[in-house]
Amino acid sequence: MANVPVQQLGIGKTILIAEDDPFISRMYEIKLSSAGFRVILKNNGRDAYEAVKSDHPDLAILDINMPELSGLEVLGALQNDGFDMTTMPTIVLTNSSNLDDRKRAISFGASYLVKAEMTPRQVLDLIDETLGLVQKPGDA
Amino acid sequence: MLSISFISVGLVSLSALFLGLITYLNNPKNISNKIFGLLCVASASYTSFNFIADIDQQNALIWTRTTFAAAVLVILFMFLFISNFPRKVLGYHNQISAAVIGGLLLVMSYTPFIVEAVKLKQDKTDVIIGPWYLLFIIYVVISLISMSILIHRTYRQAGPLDRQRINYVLGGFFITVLLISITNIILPLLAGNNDLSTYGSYFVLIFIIFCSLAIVRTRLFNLRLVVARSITYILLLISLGLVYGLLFFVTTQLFVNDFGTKTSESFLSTVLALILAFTFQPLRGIFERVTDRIFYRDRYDSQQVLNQFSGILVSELNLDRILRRTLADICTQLRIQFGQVIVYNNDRIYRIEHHGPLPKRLMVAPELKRLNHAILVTDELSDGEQKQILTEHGIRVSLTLRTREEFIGHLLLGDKLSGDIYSSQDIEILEILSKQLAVAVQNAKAYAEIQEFNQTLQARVDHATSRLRVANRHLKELDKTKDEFISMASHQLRTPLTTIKGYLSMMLEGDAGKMSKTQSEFAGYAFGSSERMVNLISDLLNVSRLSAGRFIIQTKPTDMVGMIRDEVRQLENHAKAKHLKLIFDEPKEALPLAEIDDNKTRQVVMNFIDNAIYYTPSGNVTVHLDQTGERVRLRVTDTGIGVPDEAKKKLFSKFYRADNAQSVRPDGTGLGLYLARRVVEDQGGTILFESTIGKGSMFGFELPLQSPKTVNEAPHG
Repeated sequence: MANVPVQQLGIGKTILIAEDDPFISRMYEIKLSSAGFRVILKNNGRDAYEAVKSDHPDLAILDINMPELSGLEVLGALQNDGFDMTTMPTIVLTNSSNLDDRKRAISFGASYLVKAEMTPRQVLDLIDETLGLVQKPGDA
Repeated sequence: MLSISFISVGLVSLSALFLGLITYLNNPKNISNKIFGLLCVASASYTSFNFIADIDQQNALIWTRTTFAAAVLVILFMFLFISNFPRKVLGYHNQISAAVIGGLLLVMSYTPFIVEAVKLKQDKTDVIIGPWYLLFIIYVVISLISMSILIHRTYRQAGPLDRQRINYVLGGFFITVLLISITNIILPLLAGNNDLSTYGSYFVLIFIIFCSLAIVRTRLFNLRLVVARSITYILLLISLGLVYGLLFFVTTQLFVNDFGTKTSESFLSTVLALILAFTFQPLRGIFERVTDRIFYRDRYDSQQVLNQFSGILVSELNLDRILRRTLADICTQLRIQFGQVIVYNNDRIYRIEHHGPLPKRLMVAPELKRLNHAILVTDELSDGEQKQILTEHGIRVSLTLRTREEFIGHLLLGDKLSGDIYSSQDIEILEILSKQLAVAVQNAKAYAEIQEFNQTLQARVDHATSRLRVANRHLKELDKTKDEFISMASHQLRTPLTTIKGYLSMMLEGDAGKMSKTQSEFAGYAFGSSERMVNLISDLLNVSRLSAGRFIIQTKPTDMVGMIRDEVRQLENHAKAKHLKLIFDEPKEALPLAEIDDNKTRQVVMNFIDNAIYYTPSGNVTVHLDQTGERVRLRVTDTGIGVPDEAKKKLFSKFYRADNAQSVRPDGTGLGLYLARRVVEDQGGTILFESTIGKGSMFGFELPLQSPKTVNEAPHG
C-alpha cells in the first residue's frame, strides 16, 4: 500500500468539495491536488450551491450534514433550478448510513458512499473512474 | 209415617257405617282410622237400636239395654279417638283402664241396675231406670270432662290443620251428645218426658255431617276423593233410578194396558236396560265433573304437569329463563297466587325470581336460613319461628331445593287462588318438581358460571391485550430512540475515525514524505485498527437495522476477486505483525461478476479473514475462492485455536462468543458471525463452517452468482 505513485490525471479538472470538517476537507484537498485537480473547498451548503453555479466544477463531493444547506438540499435546489445533473457527476460522501439519505442521493443521480469506509486514495480512484480518467477494474 | 222414619234412621245408620268402613279401609293399619271406624259402627248401632227399641216392643227391654251399651261404646271410642288422634296423648295403660271401665259399664247395661225395665206405650218405649243409673250419667260426664282435658294436650302437640280436624269431629260429637243428653237423659229425668228420645237417633246425623266436613275441608283421613266419588255414585244411582223408574212408569201406563202381554213388558225392560247401559258412562262423567268442580276446584293431571315441567327444563339452559318459566308453570298449573324461587351460590343469594303480585317485603337470608326443611307446609306447622316467618310473608309452602351434592335454594309458594289449603296431590307433585328444579338449576348455574367465566376471561384478555399494545408502542418508541441513538453515535464516531484512517493511509502512501520502516510499520498497525473500528461501527449499525427491520440487501454486479484482493491487502500488515502467512489462493480461471451486496459481503469477507488472523497464534491463514456450479465459494482456513464442540451450535447467534475466543480477544462484540450468516443467507447463500479444537477452523460461504430477486426486497427482523 505504501508509496503508490500518484499519476497526475486530474490536470485541468475542477473538483468541488463541500465539507464542514476542516481536517477532512484538507485531507481530500491534499490527496486530490497531488493528482493535479483544482480543488474548491466550501464548508457549507449555501456556498457550495453558489460555487456550482459560478465555478462549474467537473465533479462535486458533497457532505450531507452541513450548515445552511445539507448536501441533499443543495442537490434539490439545483434540480429545482433546472440544472442538468449529468453535466456534473456528484458523490455524496457522508458518515450517515441512513437508507433514506442513500435513496434520495441515488434519485438525484449521485453516488453514495460512507466516508469512514473510504481512504482518500479510494476517493481519488473513484473520481478518476467517474470522470473516465481510468478504466473501471470491472470493465477490463 | 213409620216407613219414613224407618228409611231416615236407616240412612243415618248406613251413612255412619259407610263412613266408618271407608275410613278403616282407606288405612287399616292406622290406629286412628281403626278407632274412628269403630266409633262410626257404635254410632250406627246406637242410632239403630234406639229406634228399634221403640218399634219392636216385644223385645223392648233388650233393645233398650243394647242402646245403652252402644252409647257406652260411642263414648269410649270417642275418648280413645281423642287419645290417639292425631298423635297419642294418653298412655296405653290409661287407655286400657278406660276401656276396662267402658267394658264394665257395657256389661252393667245388661243388668237391671241401669235399666230396670221398660214401660210400653203406643209407638214408644219408656225407660224405667235402675238404682245405678247415676253411674251411667257419671261415666258420660267424666268421659266428656276427660276428653276436654285431653283436647288441651292434643292442641299443644297438633298443628293447626289437625286442630281444625279435631274441632270438626269433636264439635260434631259434643253437639250430638248434648242434644241426645237433652232428649234422652235430661228431659226424661227432670220432666219425666220421654217423648223425644226417639229423635236421639237422628242427632247422630250431625256428627256424621261434621265428620264429612272435616274430610272435605281438612282432608281428614285423606278421604276427600272417596267422598267425592261416593257422592258421584249416589247421585248417579238416584238419577238412574229416577229416570228408569219414570220411563218404566210412563211406558207401562201407555203401552201395557193396550197389549198387556209379557212379551211387550220384557221387550220394554230390554230397551230400558240398553238405555241404562248406554247412559251410565256419560252420566257418570257428568257427575264426576260436577263433583270434581265442587270438591277439587284445583284439580289437575299430575302426569301432564310433570311432563310440561320436564319440557321446560329440557328446552332451557339459561338460569333466569328456567326460573321464570318453571315458577310461572308451577303457579299456573297448581293455581297459586304467587311464588318465589331463591337460588343460592356460595352461601349467598344469587338469583330471586317472582311470579304473581310482589310481596311487601322480601324474605331475608337469616329468615331463609330457618326454613331448612325439605318441605314445610305452614298450615301443618305448630307455632314457632318457622310458622311465624312463613305466615308473616304469606307463604303457605316452603320447599328447600337441594341436589345430592349441594344446597340450591328455596321455593316459596303463597296461597292458592281458591283459598283452599294445599292438597296432598299438590304436596306430592311439589316434592317431585322441586327435586327436578334443583337439578336443573344446578346445571344452569354451572352453565352460567362458565359463561360468566368466559366473559371475565374475555375482558381480562382484552385488558391484557390493550396493555400489551401500549407496552408494545412504548417498546417501539424506545427501539426507535435506540436506533436513532446508535445511528447518531455511529455517525459521530465515524467522523473522527475518517480523519484518523484517512491521514494514516496518506502517511502510508507517502503523502507526508518518506517514512522509516518502523514508522511505516507502526502507522500500518494504527491504520489496520482504524479499519477494524470502521467495521465494528458498521456491524453495530447493521445489527440495529436488523432488529428494526431495515436491514436491506442491495445487490450490484461485483468482482469478487478484486474485493478479496482489497481485503487481503488491507489486512496484510495485521497478519505480518502476528508473523502469520496470509495467502490468497486466487481462482485459476476468471470468475464472472457476482450479483451481490458489495458492502455487506465485503464486511463478511473482512470479518472471516480478520477473525482467522486474530484466533491463530501461529501458522497461516489461507483464503480460497472458486466457483462451484452457479455459485461462488469462499473459504478462509486457519491453523488457529478452533471452536469447541459445545460452542459450534451457538456460534452464529447474536452476541455469542466461545469461551476460548473470549480469552483471546476480550473486546469482541459477538456480532461478526451473526451478521455474516444474515448477509449470506439473505442473499440465498450458505455458510460453510468446519472446525477442530486446537487444530484450526474454516469459515466461508457459497453465494449464488445470480441473486434470487425475492431475497432482495425481503424485510428482516
